[in-house]
Amino acid sequence: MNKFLIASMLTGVLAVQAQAACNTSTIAATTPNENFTIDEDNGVVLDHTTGLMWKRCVEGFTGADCRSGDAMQSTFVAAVEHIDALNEGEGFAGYNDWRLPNVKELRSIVEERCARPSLNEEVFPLKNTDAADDRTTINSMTLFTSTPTSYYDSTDTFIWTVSFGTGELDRSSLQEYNYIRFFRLVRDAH
Amino acid sequence: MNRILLSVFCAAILSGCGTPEESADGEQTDGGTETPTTPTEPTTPTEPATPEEPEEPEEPETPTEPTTPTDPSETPDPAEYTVDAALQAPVSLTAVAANQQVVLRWNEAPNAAAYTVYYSTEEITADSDLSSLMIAVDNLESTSYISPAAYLSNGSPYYVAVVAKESLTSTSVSSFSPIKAFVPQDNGVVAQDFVQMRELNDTGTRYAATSDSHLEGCAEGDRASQGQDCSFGRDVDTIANGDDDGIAGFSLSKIGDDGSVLTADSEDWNCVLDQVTGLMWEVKSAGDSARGNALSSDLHDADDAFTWYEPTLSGSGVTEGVESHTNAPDSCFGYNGSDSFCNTSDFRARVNAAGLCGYNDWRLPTARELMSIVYYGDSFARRTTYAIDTNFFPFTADTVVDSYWTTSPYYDVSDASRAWRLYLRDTVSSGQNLGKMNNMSKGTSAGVMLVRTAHE
Repeated sequence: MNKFLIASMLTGVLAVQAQAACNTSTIAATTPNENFTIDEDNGVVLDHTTGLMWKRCVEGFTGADCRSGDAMQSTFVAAVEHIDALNEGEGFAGYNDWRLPNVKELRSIVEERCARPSLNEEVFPLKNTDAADDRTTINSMTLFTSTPTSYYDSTDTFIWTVSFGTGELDRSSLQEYNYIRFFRLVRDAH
Repeated sequence: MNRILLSVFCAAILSGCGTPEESADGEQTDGGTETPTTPTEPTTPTEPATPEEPEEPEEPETPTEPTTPTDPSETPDPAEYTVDAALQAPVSLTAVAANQQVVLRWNEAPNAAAYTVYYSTEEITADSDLSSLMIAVDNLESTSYISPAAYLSNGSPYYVAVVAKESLTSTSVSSFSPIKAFVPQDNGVVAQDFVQMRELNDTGTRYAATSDSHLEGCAEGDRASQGQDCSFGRDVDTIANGDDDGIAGFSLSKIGDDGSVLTADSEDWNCVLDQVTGLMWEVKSAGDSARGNALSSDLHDADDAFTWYEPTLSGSGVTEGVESHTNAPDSCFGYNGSDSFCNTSDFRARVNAAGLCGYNDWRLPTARELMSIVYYGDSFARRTTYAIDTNFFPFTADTVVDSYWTTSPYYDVSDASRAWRLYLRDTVSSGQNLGKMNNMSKGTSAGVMLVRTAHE
């Protein structure tokens, strides 16, 4: 009861602040604020439901509102190599075991009541509020997971991706087109 | 003192958090958890009592001296504990580090009455001798544990594993749960926030994408496989990843029509309990190919299809869906053309009336729940047709349904008539859709695999 009240208050605020397109009246929140501990200083977020620690900003963006810097778009291999270098170097927030999320982990932070981006932006700020067009690449970005896939009439290999425009799953060509995508880091909070 | 306070607090949170979630899925707001409907819950004697978790009669240890039970007459000396490999161990353990503290959560092991948490500053392996380890807590009846405040050293690695006991007085314990390492940190974590966490199911992926092949082992290949899915999670945990209880990291139990937990080699089962997520799933029966005008012969027929119709979820921006398919004639089991149709609500009502596996709190899964059971582990290049472990969820070649509904409405500012669905099999599109989750118009017919919350 209490929880419901708090959740709807918070998402109400969210809708105003970030101008995200959200249906707060009918669709239940999948990532309500009370599920998360936000460590603004260190730029990380902990999910109480999964025990996962997320880097709060998409890789490349920085700052408490994730508005500074430029989001990093790269090929899958370059993304994995970037994370390797980070872990072997200074790490992030004091940790050196960051990785790409698998497809179930990345889909678990989709806020299904919102679109472009399908995120609770109190927890994971993202939206480019300066953009006149709601459908900019940033606001509906596609992120790499760490989960490979393929299908049987294609000779190409693929990586599962999650669209944060809608929350839908898709796959990105790894070999033939070697797509570039955004990505976000996660670790077990152990 | 401290410890007892904490655990009472956690237990209160546990039961408090359990309730509101149920109402989100309509229907069984009152029925809820395990208790009333099952006449026989023979194999899990401990759990039906649960609403009263806070009671927790024994918390025998003193806070400072974790290894000594206070009442030796009631509980055996842990020094006498021996491993009985036949007992079912917890299969999922999650550890979150806090300031000089740790919070642990594990799954309810079938037949377990209590748990003992072992820890060490040295690495624990599956073969570690119990006597070489320290006991954090003995005879704990709940499935989460918060270490006493300011008890552990920040920056030092610890190792932890949980074993199950069938009674408080037993000296036999199960083998280890998956073994976890953690490093306490002054990280702002409030341990109580995590007492209900559950590890996500892993994907089942045990190969890495490479530049020249669809299928390589995890260690091979030229695409930096150490950073890929196959290098992390339950699928590479030597305790969690046995295939007997579900492929790779899955830990599934077959459930009989009376709700009893069956052995993995049973050939007659009606439901599957996912030990990691705590969800129990309906198992479809072999499709009878009765479609079109022929009525289906089985309530759980795998080729029955349903429109999405959920009046209780409708409101601004979400339509109630479509009660009956307008073009394709209804052919599902139980259709009568007047008050029982082939839609998600009516199907759920029929299954609950029938009391599948002894329960009547079956519901549609959320998008996240349905995704939890998906097996992403095969190379679809090898013509895999199913994205689920078919040893536990058998499908037959004549099954026509490919995608399955979730209860989750799809948000589109200009279209309120869609919901999330997921492809558990792929019949028509060369495999591109297998495992994919996207949206579909509610008036389209799709499969339904019902779920219930077995363990909060």
